[in-house]
Amino acid sequence: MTPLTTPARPAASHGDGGVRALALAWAILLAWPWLAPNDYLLSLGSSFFINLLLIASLNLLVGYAGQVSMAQAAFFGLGAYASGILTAQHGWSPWLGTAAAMVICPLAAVIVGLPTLRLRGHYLAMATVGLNVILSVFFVGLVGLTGGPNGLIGIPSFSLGGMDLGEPSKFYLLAWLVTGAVMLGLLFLTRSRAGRALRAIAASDIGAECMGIAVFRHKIAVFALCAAIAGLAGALYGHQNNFVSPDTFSFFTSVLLLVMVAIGGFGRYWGPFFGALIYTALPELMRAWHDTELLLFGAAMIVVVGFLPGGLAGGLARLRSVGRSR
Amino acid sequence: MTALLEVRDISRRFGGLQALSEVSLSVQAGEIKAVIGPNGAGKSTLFNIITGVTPPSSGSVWLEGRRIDPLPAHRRVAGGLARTFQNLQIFPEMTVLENVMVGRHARTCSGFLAGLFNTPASRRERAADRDHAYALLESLDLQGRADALAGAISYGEAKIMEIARAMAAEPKLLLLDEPMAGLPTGAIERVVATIGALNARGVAILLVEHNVRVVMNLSHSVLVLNNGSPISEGTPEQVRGDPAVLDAYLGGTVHA
Repeated sequence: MTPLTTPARPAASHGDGGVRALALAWAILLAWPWLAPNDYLLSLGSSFFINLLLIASLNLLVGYAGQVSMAQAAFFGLGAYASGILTAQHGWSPWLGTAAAMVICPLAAVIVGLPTLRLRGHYLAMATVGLNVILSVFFVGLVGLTGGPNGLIGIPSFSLGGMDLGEPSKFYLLAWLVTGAVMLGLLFLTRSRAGRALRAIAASDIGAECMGIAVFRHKIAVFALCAAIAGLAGALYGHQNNFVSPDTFSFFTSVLLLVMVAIGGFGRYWGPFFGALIYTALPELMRAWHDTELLLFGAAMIVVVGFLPGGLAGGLARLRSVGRSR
Repeated sequence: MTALLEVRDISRRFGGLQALSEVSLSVQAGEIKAVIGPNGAGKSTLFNIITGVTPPSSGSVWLEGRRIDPLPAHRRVAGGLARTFQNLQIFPEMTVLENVMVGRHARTCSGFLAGLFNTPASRRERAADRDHAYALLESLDLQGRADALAGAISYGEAKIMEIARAMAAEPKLLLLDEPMAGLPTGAIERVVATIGALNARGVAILLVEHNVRVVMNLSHSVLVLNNGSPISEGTPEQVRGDPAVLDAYLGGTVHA
């Protein structure tokens, strides 16, 4: 193509504001091991990171790319059991087990995605409901492998050169580092050519295809990436608690994770931070009123979908722009 | 000399409906060609077959002498076809600039991992895409809306934005599906000027249009479809004088 007009002046460049905000948030989060009054609250901080991995990767798939998965907990569990079994029963190092989890989970995603993502519509959502139910049955039923309903015990902690990273403050730093790297990668990805393609696919399959985007391949890739991150979260979870049990990874957890994406704001980069915060803190705050958190999550979902379509992150962004225009 | 685009004996049946039967057409490099016809004539189906959205029941499509009808739609964009949509297929949650940047997809190559790791190539490409997209918006006088959400701009602006987005793929042939439908007069003039300017830069254009007067003034050649079959083809003057066309489509009422 011939040169068009005058030298281009790009509009307000979507510069490095996001990277700076992320760096600031991570600097603040680094203080938690020194602020947390006890080990229990400190380990809740680590749980926040694990939940953030789950919700942010699901947001990439559902919020950015528009593909609904109801099996995030299944990949979470598959990662946890894969690394747990390989380390507890076969003597693998937790690092290798984690790597294996991050290979097995995307493989499972590709197997489910190949027949379903080719079709337009809610086939992925339906197939992933089935996947979660089937994997839950396996987690309970394969007693020799998974420990069955009693759970899998004896999962070792991470260690580095003889240093035990199972100790809560050290594990916190590991989760902090790993999650920070993933969140930075997701920030980059959402702004890249592939990220733009995903958002285009969410808006219109045909529109995206006619822009030269290989829609099917992109859907497979983003589903696999989402599963890989969920598998990473699962491995971290298993090696943090040295124990996993099947009810953690039920279909119900998948639904709740999806609700957290919605509450944070579909397709909003900062949305999962709110979602993970609520998902981590609320059950603890509501412990006295057993099971009422489910009621609260349900009500919150209705409020968000009805009155705050951009979720909490979208609402805050709107508040900020209103404040600026005054 | 081979034509830029060659459509040979395309037929398409939807259930019991013969949407297209034995339609052939060719577009030469640098040409503006229009396909007109009453509603239901098969114009949009023809477009969808050329761009790969709908497979033909029979027939073939050739671009620069290469057969493209077995290729998926996205591969045809890389080959040099880009299109707009009658009913708009914009990405409403993205800005106008980002929409046009999506149009660069076929001319860039950094993948998922490059994006995830923010490689220098990925960064360079993003900056180059943004410059290219912004320059395109400037050339179509839409740069003032670059940062607006595509879902929030006017219908006429969205039509222009779709043209910019298609142009971002650096097509050899630009396919415009009713680019003036639903637009007020001022906006129609703007689209006409845009099409003329793009053609002056050497882009061949195939357009489907209802607005016969505009088509007659703008096009180098015209194909008239009626009930899925070609009934006339030639220069605007030839078509205008064709009794079959007057009878079937114009009804003798248009004296452009």
